[in-house]
Amino acid sequence: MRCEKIKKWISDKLDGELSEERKKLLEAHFHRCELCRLYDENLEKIHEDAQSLKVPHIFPDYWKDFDFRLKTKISSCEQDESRRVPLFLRWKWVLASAALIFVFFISFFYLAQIKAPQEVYILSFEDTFERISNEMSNDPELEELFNSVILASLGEDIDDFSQIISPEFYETPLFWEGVTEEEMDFLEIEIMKNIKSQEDFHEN
Amino acid sequence: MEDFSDDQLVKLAKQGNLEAFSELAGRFKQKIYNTILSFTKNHQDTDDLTQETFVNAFKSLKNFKQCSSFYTWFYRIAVNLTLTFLKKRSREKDRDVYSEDYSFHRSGEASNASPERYSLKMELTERLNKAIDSLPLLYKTPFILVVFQGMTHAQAASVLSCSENTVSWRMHKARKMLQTKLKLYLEGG
Repeated sequence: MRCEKIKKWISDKLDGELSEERKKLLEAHFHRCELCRLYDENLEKIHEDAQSLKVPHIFPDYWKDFDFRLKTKISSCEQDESRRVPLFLRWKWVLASAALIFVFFISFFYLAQIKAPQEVYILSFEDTFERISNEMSNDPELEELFNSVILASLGEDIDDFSQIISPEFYETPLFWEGVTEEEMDFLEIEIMKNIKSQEDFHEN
Repeated sequence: MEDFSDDQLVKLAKQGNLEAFSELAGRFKQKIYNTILSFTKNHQDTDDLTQETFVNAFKSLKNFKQCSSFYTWFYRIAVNLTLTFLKKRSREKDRDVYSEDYSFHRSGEASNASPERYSLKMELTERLNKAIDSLPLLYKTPFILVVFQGMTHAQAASVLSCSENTVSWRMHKARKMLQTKLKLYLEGG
């Protein structure tokens, strides 16, 4: 394990990347370890040989030709660059169409919102009464409560009930034609109550 | 233009000065060519890749923020292009790749060396060439940059976009592989 670390230090030493302190430790290790010392010698030989390897000689004519070709390529690159239309311009028709469609949809929704009648939920009186009467037909207690509430509200608005039930009112045949049997019963009870209260009043 | 520093030339080239870019290209073309040739071992491919490196550098010069040195940035383009090319070439196994004998050879061979010693050295050099060539790209790339191009670990790390420690470990592994492959010749010579 220690020798493995030493071998890495040998590699670093050849690249000039080993600190002086470690170089001393390395030398001390070589005195004790023959294998590492041999490894160091081998690597030094490889390093020297590798550094002395040279590439084939390149003739100056090659570089002249190289420079000429490079300049031609770069010039054509520059021309291409100047000819190149910016991306947003290449897509101008698409962008313009998209903007037009967007504007169209926005205006369509805006106009539709203005013209559309305000949706207000109005519960019609007829429907309400029908629902209440249906409920009341199955529940006599509710019917009684409803009648008392209606009467109480009428009593609040009109101080004198006799103003509504006028003699002319009783005498109108059209009124009696439209009255149902149930309504007749109700009126009868109310009239009786009224007569009784008047009699009580006179007696007192 | 010759007196200008790299940074000054880069600034001018960024403004579209072709002459400044040509000067920069002139300063680096030999090094870039040699580096690429170390990988490809083929003049035609090296020529194409070197041209491509310069054209790519010219095109993306506007995006160069000068955070690293121009030299490192330039090498990064060259190495990336070369590695992409080599990976593509290795995939095309069926294709016959034209390869010339552009193996590295020893410079300034001592003419006074004995024929036996000269022959041994030549053999070792040939073996070394083959051993380096057979290294996996992961280890071969930092080896070429550090040993052939004389880069520090920091420079190689910047070119390869990795840490210095990674370069150090890869160099160690590359050398270990080379030593194993050449052990017999090293101890015999």
